[in-house]
Amino acid sequence: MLQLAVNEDSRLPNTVAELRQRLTERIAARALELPLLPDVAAQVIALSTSDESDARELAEVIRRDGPMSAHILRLANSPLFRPRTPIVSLQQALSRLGMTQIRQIAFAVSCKQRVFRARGYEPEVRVSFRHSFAAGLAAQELARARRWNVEEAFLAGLLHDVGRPVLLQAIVDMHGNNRMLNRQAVLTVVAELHAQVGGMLAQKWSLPARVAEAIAFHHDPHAAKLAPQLSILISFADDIPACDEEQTPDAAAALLKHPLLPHLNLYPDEVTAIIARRKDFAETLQAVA
Amino acid sequence: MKAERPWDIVVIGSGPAGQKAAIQAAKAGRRVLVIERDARVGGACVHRGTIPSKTLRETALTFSAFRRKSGQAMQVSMPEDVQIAGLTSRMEGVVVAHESFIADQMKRNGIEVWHGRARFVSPHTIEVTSVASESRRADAKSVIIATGSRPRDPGLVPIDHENIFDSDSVLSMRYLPRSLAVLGGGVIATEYASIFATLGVRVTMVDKGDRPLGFLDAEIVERFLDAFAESGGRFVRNGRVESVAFDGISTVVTTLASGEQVRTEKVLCALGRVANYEGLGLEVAGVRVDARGLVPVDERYRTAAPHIYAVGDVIGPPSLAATAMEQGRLAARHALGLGVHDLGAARSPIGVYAIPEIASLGMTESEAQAQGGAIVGRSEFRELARGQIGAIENGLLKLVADASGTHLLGVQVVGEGASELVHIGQMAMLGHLPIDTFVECTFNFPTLAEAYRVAALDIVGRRAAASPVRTSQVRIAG
Repeated sequence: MLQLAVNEDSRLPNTVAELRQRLTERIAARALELPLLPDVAAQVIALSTSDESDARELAEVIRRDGPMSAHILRLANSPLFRPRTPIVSLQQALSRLGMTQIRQIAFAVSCKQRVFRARGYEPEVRVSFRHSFAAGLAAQELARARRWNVEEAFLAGLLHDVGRPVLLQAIVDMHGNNRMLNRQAVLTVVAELHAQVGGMLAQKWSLPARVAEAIAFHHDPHAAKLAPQLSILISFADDIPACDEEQTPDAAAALLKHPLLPHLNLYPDEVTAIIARRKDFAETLQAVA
Repeated sequence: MKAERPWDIVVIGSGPAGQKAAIQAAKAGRRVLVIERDARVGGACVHRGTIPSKTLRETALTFSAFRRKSGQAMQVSMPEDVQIAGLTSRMEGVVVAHESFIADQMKRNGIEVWHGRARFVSPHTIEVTSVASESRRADAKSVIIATGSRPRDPGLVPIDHENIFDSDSVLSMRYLPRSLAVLGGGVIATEYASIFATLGVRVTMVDKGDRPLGFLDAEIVERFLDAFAESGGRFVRNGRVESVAFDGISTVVTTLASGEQVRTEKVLCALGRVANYEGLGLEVAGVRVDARGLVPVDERYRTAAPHIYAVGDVIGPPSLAATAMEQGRLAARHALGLGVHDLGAARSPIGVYAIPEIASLGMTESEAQAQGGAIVGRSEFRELARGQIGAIENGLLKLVADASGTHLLGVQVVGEGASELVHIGQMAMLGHLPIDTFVECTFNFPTLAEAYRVAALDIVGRRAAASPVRTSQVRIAG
């Protein structure tokens, strides 16, 4: 068993089991502090479900957030969209990228800025966000191939690991960056509990129940009741290596034999076609992350 | 290794045509294998077509019936952010129940099902490759191809399943759009256009024809269009689509050859279907595909390879589940050398589950007129007590009799219950009953079935009115 702390400070958990117990108790008591849905993300969701929304309104929402505007402009000027002339305004970017894409990017970036953060765990959170965004992009293409809802799949893919930074931040809030906490042990417990916490967060944010379930059950998709197929899809997307990582031939072959593929009824050639788009995903990711 | 005994019949596809072929062969005591590329049996009918769309239709129908039948007693309106998922909450249950019924039925009848893609490696041997890339082979005495069809992807419509859908993906929309353009005038286009219009969506249906459902009776279809317009739908006649494009913001713009631009939130492209035969290796089996991309068959559903049959959508229209089922059953009987009764034109009615419903059997009025004349009797549902009680105002039943007004040649119905009502006429046609039977027998009161008596009386009246003319013509001729 991993030893978490060597001092006698009773406020520090001594073992993985103890840390797990403390967090589990907080989760059960609904005492775990969950972040609010970032303002921009909330407004983007509101605009996407409103019939009256238009590009000007969305541009206005984004303009109010400086770093967000920079991200969008960087993406619009990225090789993925190959602009003939430099894109200098948000309106230009909107017409270049389209409202749907801007909505996705704005949601992802605002979550990255406000939720994917935990002091002392920056490298882990950075990896987690890159993986999540790539999973969102893969999930939407998988959904398109299966003729399922594309936006829902992106959202569930993007947020499937959102419980990780939330838990890390919760631990930091509980214990500060106490060096006596064993980093690996913390990550072990976070890995165990992140799906449950992610599902809770999605509920708190009033995201669609199907999305919340897919997040909560992405490591046990067959247990999902409301949206088992979406949960399976997200679980598979979670196992696709991040698009900017090298994929060995063995890893690629293993992916085509993934045990969830029969449940998605995706044949190797269909999966290969989706995986082949990793380069596109990587370019998008580069502009966002 | 010991070679496995060949299967008497291998059926490729487990949609309506494949199921009935397999069940028929198994009931005849034969060893049957079904190969299904999807993880679940049932085909597009169960998972993407008939069952899901009819479940949504039932909700729309209930909504519209409540509005009509409750008078003004209660104000009913659709919440603005209504989720399609909510409207089809029963859908998953219905689909699962239907799929499990089919799977049980196959199991009960000793039919084996393999999950994977089929490919002929010789005329009598089929290789099946699973999702996990594992292969096995099946030898077959006879093969029935029932692989169905998928939505046609016309090059000029960039279907992205996000803003521009086809009929496989349209129900993946989570929210009802405010407006929808439906491209096409076939059964699927008509059904979805009228369902969404009934749910309060502003629907514009665009078809290159003068009217949708060109194979049906013109008067019946015009009656449907009246009802469609009443529910807020608009039909663009002779509308040729030049381009369809998402504006990148929130609107899909459909540009017509006339210059008109139809701007809607979403578009459903329902411009026909194409047969599924890619990857089957039909050339290895000696099965031909015609210029239209369909598998041609003879009257026994035999392809160019005499031991291989094809049924359902893969052989072309009418692409209806009921017809496909019957083709599957008949093909299996032919393959096994079992007798088949020739029931003629009255064997297969057509049912279009639009709102209002449309059903057709035998000849239309114009077909009968072209083939030696006809006397047509009509019954308006609004003139029936049941029609009044049920607020069914737009129903019409037409009986098409021969020129002498004695024999029934066709039944055409539009209105609530049309797909059920048509079967009364079907039995009369199969039994060769004279038109007067409908006048002489008693119908429950009040029922919509009374329309048969009213329409038959109309024929009797026209027949009587026509007699003196005919007599005088005979006299002059003599």
